[in-house]
Amino acid sequence: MIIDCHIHFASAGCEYNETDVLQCLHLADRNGIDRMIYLFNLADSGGYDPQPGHIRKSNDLGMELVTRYPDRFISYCYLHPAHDPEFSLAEIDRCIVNGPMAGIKLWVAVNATDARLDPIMRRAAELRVPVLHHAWYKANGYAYNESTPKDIANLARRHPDVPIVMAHLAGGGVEGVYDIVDCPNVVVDTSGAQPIAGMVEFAIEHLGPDRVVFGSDWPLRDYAVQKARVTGAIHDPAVRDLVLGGNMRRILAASGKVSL
Amino acid sequence: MIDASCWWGQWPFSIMGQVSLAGTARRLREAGVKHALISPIRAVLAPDAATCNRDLLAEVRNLDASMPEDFRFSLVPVVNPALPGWRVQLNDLLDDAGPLVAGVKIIPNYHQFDLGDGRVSELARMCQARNLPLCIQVRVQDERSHHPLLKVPGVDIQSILSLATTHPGTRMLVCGAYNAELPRLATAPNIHVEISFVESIDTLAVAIASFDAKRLLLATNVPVHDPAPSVAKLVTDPSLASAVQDIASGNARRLFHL
Repeated sequence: MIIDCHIHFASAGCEYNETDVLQCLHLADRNGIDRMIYLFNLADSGGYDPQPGHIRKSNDLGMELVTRYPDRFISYCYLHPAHDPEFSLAEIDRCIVNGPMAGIKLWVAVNATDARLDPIMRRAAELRVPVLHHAWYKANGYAYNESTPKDIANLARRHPDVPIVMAHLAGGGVEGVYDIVDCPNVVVDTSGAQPIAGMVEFAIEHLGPDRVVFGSDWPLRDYAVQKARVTGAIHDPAVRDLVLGGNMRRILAASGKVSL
Repeated sequence: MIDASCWWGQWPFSIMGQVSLAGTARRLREAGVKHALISPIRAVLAPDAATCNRDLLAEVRNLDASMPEDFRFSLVPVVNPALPGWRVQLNDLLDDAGPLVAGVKIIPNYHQFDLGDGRVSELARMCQARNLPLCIQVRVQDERSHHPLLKVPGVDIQSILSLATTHPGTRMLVCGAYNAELPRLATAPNIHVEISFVESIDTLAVAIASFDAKRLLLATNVPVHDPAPSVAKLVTDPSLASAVQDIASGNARRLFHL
């Protein structure tokens, strides 16, 4: 089973759009991708600093995806750690405890080193759900409160019981891999930037085959291209299977929220 | 498949070690490429591109038996028209290498010259006279992952358009352009674009919607990038099979007269 741990939608108004969904499924089918993890809607969702209304709308879309296509979509609860913790915890209850979502997504609203993430992370630990957090090392400037892999390592050490998916292997690069070597609760996803030569092999060598997971960042990227980053780099079928789906399956199994 | 733009040598900002020319050939062949247009990557930063070109020519001539049988290289030497002597050096190389040379590449941002420079116009006219495409490298690496002390902006697209408009008889290949830059580049009919940096939701289908499929070419940007993801861009809707064929090889054959 191939699980893409990192997709978005870009549907106007964060409204469920069957055309967008069918396009997503068609392209996933064409590339043999079985399950896609929706993180948040890129359009009309408040940009770097979403308001509670944006968060709810984006999460409503995620829940509808899972309700309509339970065998194809897994959704994470999108949160903004600067919002009142009561709101964030209530949103976790609405979407994960009482809803079909299976993880939490954090982007650039608040840096990963900020203590305001802690109530969210503690709840993730209780529920045994993964947190996917954006990370990048950028030479040309950071977006809002964007986190680096070093910040993710800080978060991971504060919350060693939470499985963390650090997004964007090529964005973090070599330094990003080294940053998380000693954080066994962190895996890295293969999405982000151009297919920098040797990065997938490097991550597997230094983190081990069970700490690298396939992610595409669709629709910003092309499923075929992103999948080929993995299949072109890994020749051992057992390792390839782990990265393309086995590792994510293991991480998701802990909460019992998803049957795979 | 024909790779319209790849490099020989080691990119100093990559974790990939030195790969021989035969090793590069094997890597490309594994990805399905049978013919590659190659330039010396050392010429991006080295003080003298001409030396790098001569080294590449010698390597190509000395390829050993480890080279895949059904694979070949054509050379795209790097020219720095800001350096005195480039005319003589290029003519000497063309005389020496003959049909092994399929085009000429310039790297304006790293070599710090403007495309409006008269020497670039002279090179464009020379390419036209020699019936060789002029390849313009917009970027070598994603700007976000540049070394913090070596941040090199991409080449200004307007300056490429001006050059192409001034020299409509010179065939040009833009290397390293992003998807968002395609619509502007499409306005000049003598501009072709290779797709090593082009990516979107459904790469080729989207690219073809904004750019003439007869002027798009497959390229890998090896060894900066892995080759398989670039080749995977050819995976698209079956209705585009004819365009895919053109992009995979037909357009390169026409542009480079292969």
